[in-house]
Amino acid sequence: MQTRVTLPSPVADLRRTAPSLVEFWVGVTLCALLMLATTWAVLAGDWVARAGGTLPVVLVGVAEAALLVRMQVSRAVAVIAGPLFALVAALPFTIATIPADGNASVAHLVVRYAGAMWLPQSLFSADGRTFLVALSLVLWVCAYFATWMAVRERNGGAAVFPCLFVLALNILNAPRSFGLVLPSTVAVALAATVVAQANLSRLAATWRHRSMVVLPGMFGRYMRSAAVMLGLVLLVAALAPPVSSYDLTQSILGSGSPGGLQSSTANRSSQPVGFSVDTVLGGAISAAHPQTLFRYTTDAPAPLYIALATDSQFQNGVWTHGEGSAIGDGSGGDVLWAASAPELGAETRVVHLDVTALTSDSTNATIGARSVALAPWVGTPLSVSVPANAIGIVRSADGAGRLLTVDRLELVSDLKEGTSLSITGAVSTATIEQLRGARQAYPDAFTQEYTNLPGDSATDTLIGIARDWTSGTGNSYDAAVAIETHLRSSAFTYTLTPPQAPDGTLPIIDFLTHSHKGYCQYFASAMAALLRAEGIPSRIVNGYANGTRTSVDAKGDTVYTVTSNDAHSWVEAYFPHYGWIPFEPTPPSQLGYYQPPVRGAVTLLGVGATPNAVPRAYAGHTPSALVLVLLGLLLVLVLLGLAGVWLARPRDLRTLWRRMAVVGRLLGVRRRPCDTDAAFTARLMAAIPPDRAALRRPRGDAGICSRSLRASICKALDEIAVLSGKAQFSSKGIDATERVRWLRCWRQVARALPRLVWRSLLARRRVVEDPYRTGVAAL
Amino acid sequence: MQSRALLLACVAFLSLLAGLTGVRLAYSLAYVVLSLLALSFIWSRATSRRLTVTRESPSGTFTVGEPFTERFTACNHSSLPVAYCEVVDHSPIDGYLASRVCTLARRASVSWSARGVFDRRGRHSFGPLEARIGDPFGLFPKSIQVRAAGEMLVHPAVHPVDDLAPAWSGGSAGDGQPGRPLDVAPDVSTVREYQTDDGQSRIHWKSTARTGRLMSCTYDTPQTSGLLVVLDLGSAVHAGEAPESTLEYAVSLAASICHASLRRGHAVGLVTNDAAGTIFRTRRGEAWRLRLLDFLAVAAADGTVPVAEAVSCHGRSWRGRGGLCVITPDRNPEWVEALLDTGMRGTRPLCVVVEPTSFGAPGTPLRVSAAWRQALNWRLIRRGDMPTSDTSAHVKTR
Repeated sequence: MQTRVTLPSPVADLRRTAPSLVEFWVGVTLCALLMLATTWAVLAGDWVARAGGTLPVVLVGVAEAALLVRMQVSRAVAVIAGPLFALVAALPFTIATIPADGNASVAHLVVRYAGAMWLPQSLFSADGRTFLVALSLVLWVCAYFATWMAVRERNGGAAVFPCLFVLALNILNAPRSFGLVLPSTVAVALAATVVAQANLSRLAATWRHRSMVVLPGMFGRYMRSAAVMLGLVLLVAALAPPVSSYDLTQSILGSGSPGGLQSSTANRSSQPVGFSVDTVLGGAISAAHPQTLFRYTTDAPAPLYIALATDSQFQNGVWTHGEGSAIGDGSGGDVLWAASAPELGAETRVVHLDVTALTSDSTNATIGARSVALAPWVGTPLSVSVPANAIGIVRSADGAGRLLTVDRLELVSDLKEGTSLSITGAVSTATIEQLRGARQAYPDAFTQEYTNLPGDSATDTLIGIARDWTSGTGNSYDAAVAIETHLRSSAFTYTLTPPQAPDGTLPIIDFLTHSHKGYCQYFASAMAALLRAEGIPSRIVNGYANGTRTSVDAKGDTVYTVTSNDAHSWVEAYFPHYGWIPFEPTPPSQLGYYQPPVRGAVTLLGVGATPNAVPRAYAGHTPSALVLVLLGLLLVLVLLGLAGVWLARPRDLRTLWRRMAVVGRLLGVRRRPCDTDAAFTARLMAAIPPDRAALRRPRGDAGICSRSLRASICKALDEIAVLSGKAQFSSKGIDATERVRWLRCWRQVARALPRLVWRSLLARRRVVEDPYRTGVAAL
Repeated sequence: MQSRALLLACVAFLSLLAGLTGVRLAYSLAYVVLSLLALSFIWSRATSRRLTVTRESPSGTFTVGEPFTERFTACNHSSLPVAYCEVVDHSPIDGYLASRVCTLARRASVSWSARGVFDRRGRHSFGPLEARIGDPFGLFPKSIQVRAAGEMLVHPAVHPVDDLAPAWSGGSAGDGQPGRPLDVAPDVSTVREYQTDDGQSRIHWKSTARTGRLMSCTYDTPQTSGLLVVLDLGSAVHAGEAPESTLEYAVSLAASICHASLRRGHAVGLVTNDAAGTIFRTRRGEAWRLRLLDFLAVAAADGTVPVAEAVSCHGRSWRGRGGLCVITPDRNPEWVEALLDTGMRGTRPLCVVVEPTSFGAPGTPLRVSAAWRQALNWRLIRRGDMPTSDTSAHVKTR
């Protein structure tokens, strides 16, 4: 006669069972940390300026959801109250971002704010403030939803889904992708922890409802297992290589698109890094989706900066190319130089460059209304193997057109994928002393073209700054180096998202006087302008820096690959007799380890390429792995040392027993609430494994050597227990001598602890290998 | 399941984005979710295959109200720890909570004991047992079933019925002495544990030496009179729901009377009107006592023949052989008439009526007339007179 027992369904259990206080606070705390990490990742993406107000918004969202959970309201109430709570959370921290328009009435504010809350429109708005409101609301929704689902519904997967979605979009579309690794990793780790904790909460609720007894140690091991799994998962994710690094969206969305899912957000705030003929400051740029352009090999001792075009006209803060004159018959070959051009003799070295285009039109640029294919060149171009026209300042004193300078090489036909061309150029090998001794008599053509500055207040500012920075220098070269050094100092910061200049202020002036933040065009513009302010002919060179070493060709030459992220601007200053000498005012960044050129041997900009094709680690600021490991080891040693000091120095007997409990845990003996000091000590003594000599003796012969470690430790523990009992229960307590004795005994135990723990681990491993031995008995 | 579906959707979405864009960090994010799913699956499967749960259950026969203890052991033979292990016991024993939740380190085991009390007679089995484990993220829970253990029989509760003893006790005709039978014949039927009121001559020294405990003999005393118990197992007369039902009370009473009588050396027979018309001829001895209790443990009220018929059929043939006891909740007086018609002499039959109206049956109680009182011994048992949950009043049967 049997009766069936029907267990209640888990779903019905959870609806009736509210989370316990511990579960509630743990869940809410984890959700808050998850949202903070997600917000941190979003902020690190640099979507919009002054976005710190989103942090309190998400915290308020978590708090609101937690309040509803605690009040045990129904789902319908939570959904209905959601919009009101969203408004309460977002309004105080974002209302100030909406600029005043003279109408301060509440209704008008509400209407303007409500417009910003319409997410489908505001998320794609070009206005930063509207986007900020939308971003705050999106993050609030994630916080509210995550907290409700994790704590109330105990559904971890659903709770973290929106956060993972936001993280994914952030990774793919953030204007600044560098710096997302750490916050994204933290957010993902916390998301996994939320999933584990929600599952544990659900299980615990089910167990409570079914009156199932939970044996001790369950919750601790559960979370430890979750932590171990999470660690393995993160390790796998960090080590596994990507399947492909090719951006398919280019072919799906068509060329000219910035790639990925940016589209409208790119329109709003950032353009991709890439070559441009003119140097126009302002606006954020993004290095998220580099395109591979061409590869090259060279006989130069190091990878090269490759020029495509120069800018010599400076007006209204914008550097543009000079119109110049074209010379050449379109058949390629030697570039024709004027007889009075700078000597290209002892202080130069001829460098060969072989370039192969990896995409069509990889060096195209828009000049005026034309789309022109440009030939890359190095130093002073001497020849090019395909039909091209050299554009520059032409001197025709002797009736024949000769080039004084080359601004660019325009190819007759576009560069197709797979096309190869060879270029030779003369790179300066002038030494520092030679450059310092250069004359300051410039040809008229240079003075007209390369030293002019507009006659406005901006020029006065530039002159003042130049004088200030070059004070104490006695020659053009030292002045140029002083300007270069000043720009590379810590006073200036490299960033792809410089702040907008105030209205009425030129970006270059704002950069030099106020923000001190910008990318290579800012630094190059500033240096070129300051050089001109000092009367030194200068120009900006636009092209590509370095490239990445990718392979070795059949001849054994290193092949470098250049991507759009290698686009760069630098400065050349003219030194009579030595020609155009390059300078590098841009400090190292995530896009390149820019270094000033080394003079004397071969003046080549750039130092060794790194193998990564996507934004490279900034080697100057990133400590090497070895240093990190050593620092980690040092930290561990320091912590162990502190732990050892804490362990070895109890203040009194009460704190001694706390340390004794730690020793017990290390030896695998947990102090039970019912244990007296003497009982616990007896268990500790029993847990101390015998010495190795005793282990090797045949069974039955367990004689303990009086000098054995085990014996001495047991004796010390016994003495501690006796003295502790005397201190607790004796009317007189213990005197100073006995205090010294227990301290000495304790130190003896602490000193032997590492050996005891090691032996205990070995003994436990030996025991565990016997599968028929039962372990912990409960109840 | 829902979390798993959402994470799978996450993996698909992230993989698509990563594949389209080629961004390394997007791949890493997809790998995190994918490896979380994969690792959870592997962890769950690896631990579930190397997990064993065993139970050491008592076996044999028990009595209602007798406590029992089971010992459970969950053993993890794998190299991975088990984050949680729900051991759910589906034993159909009311009030028995043997389920536990534990955690297991790698290659470790956990044991615990669970105590319960049999609160109903019948055949019981421990189990089945279900062990539910899973990964820490709850993505791939796994369940392991352990089949039910062997059956055990729970005898009905036996109460002291000394107050009923004078009503049916007595030896053969003319011998109305109650109490223990004289040791008149050395026919040893079995040995049992020594009780304090056993005579020293009863001690069976060989068994004592073998077991290390004092053991007494029990004897068959063929000269003592017998008792016939008629138990009404008709389906139409019983009321209430176990354990507070007329059937349980009647069975318990029958078991108590049989136990007491057999322990005193009487010969006891049992007649029922269940579907099979079960009849147990009168016999003595410990073995017979156990056999009667075994039957009563599983007796069901499935009979269609009224008890009056059983009384009239067996009462006449029993006349003069000893006492007669009828236990029934039937309010139809036919069985009383049938009992009177048997013409019992020497001892008045005992009628134990388990009043059905006190168990919720509609109608009026049986009215016992003065003439019946003259002719028969009556005992009226109402609900609560024999609380089945009060195990302290139960007599130990073993």
